[in-house]
Amino acid sequence: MLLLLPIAFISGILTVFSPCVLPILPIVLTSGIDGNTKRIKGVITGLVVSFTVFTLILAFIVRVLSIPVDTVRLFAVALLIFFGLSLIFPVGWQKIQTLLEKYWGFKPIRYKNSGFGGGFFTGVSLGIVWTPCVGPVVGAVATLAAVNSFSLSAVFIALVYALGTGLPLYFIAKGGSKASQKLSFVKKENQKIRQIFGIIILATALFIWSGADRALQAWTLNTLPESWTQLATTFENKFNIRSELDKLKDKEMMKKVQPGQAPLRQGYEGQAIIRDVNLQSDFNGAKVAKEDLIQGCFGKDCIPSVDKPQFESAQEADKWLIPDDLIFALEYRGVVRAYPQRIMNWHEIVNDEANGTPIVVTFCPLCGSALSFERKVDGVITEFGVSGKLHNNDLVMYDRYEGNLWQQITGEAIVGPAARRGEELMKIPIITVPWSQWKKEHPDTQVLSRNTGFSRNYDQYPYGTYEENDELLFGVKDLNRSLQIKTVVYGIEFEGFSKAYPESVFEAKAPIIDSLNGINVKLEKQDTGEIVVTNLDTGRKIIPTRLFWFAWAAFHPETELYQK
Amino acid sequence: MKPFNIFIILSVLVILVGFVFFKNGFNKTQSAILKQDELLLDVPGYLKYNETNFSNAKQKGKSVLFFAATTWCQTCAELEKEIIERGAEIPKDVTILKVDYDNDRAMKQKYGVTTQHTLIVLDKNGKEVKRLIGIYFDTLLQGLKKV
Repeated sequence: MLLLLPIAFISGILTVFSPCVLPILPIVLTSGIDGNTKRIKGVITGLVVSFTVFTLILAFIVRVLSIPVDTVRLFAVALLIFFGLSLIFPVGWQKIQTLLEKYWGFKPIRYKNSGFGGGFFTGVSLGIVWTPCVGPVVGAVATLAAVNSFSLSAVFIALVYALGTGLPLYFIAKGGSKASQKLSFVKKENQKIRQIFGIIILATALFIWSGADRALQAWTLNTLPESWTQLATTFENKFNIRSELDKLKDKEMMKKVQPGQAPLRQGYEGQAIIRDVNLQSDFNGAKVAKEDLIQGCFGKDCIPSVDKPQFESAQEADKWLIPDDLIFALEYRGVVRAYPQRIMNWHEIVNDEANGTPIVVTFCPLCGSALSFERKVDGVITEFGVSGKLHNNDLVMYDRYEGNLWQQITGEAIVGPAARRGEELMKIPIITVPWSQWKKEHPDTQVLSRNTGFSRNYDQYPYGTYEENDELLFGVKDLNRSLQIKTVVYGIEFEGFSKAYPESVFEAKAPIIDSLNGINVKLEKQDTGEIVVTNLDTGRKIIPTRLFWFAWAAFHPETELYQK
Repeated sequence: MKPFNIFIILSVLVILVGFVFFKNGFNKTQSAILKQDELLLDVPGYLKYNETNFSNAKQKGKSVLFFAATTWCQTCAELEKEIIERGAEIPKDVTILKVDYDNDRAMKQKYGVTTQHTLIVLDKNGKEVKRLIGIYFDTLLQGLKKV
């Protein structure tokens, strides 16, 4: 560690000779153009501080606050432009300051563009905009920062490296200042010189923003000899600094990582749950048109999914569930569970597990559709959440792996890479029945507890008379009114062919034998209330979807409707 | 108006015009350069990142996402040179996928990448197991062995 500090310092110095310093040179060189050494010190200090701080916390900003790295840089560019303009037009800036003080009664940043403070802020912004060279030293520090293992040694190394970079830059600025003092024009026209400095700041900011700095670096790399451009890396390699840094890294990582845990994402094999994943917004290869997705509520997780579900016994649930309450129930991999609609109205998604199999139970109150899937995206176990968007009134979910958008009723990926891969979630049978019926058949059932971690009034139905009335909350393309729109139907889909059966046709309890595109199917209501659909030709089961008629018709425009 | 003020205003105008020119011009040339680069890549374990290549890489085993900016990032270029020269040393189950650091914002955001020359090692399920920044080929090979 002690050996690392001087090496970090020297490689900091040597970095100044590599092309990545070029974009910031003009500002540094002219920062003392009027002979003001305070400003030089300000710019260099700001640069050193922001370089150190941002190497360490940029990863945090991007990951935790999910602000894209380009946005952070753009913000710093805007600051630089502002500083530049305030130097170019000092009179205008004075006026704005007085205005602000007068009307809002607050004193804006006491930003004196001539002194240490002004230089400091310029330096700080410059440190953010400037994409630093990544040699082994910066790389090692950034790696530690990326996995959130901050340590005192990482902070020290970053700081010492930045100081090393600051030292030659300081002398460059001093030299620039000395040279300009020799010109007689400069001595007389201090104000004008500051305006020129402002122009240089403005030019640098726009230059970096346009990406021209990168082109300049590319050009220098091709033109200058390698021995020159790779001075810092050659040095770092010579001292075998890498193995030292690796030791440091391993030590920090060991502290962080418990046996059996991955460094970044916890959990078992092949699981990725990225809570702050960004929703996919590229409609390239999407299954829906952008304008068909409607914002139902603002932002993802505006309706919070239940991610750590707790369960209680039927006796306990009986204290608050009434016999006619609808529940969504499944028997899967040895678990028997009921998810009361009264809870699902408020959460719509429960990320659950059935004896090690990851499942998600979903419910869209506006479509009356409850479906369950295995929660895997591209083979990776993840969670689902409410995206806040609706398509034909149906819940659009997102996954916490890639941020794809998924249609709840079909289980299809509609936007994002999963849509382009043509992914569809694996359906798990789930039924919608009254609590009394389910309890009778499955006295040993587990019931989702109201203890969800959120405080909601589960005694209240959040959508008023929605389930009975003739209104929709959002638009539906080609609304099909062959039935009252909220008639409950069971939809089945088979080899691209679909048919809907109104719930009332099962009241007779006699099995229905029907033909679906030439294939014989049997639909039968069980004592549990479940509608079992069997393909009579193969003996296989088909999973029906229970939902409101309008929603089935919206997603299956070619559907047939069963008539008695 | 004083001649100096005219000079100041003219310079600001020139800078703005230059900015608009550069902003449009450079984005185009940068992507053009990258496209040409892809044609040169015929190392079996080193491919351009896209969804197909990525899902194939996962089938094979580990994948390494290499966030590289080859036009202006000198250290990325050095590593790329090593990868191409020593491609035979890349383990058979590993695919290195080059991600365009300059233009692929979605990938940067998804993996929380903040700097060029970032390498992320993923297992066959696409789970991140290691992150390496600013390293060269030998360290990469060592890192892959440890995983």
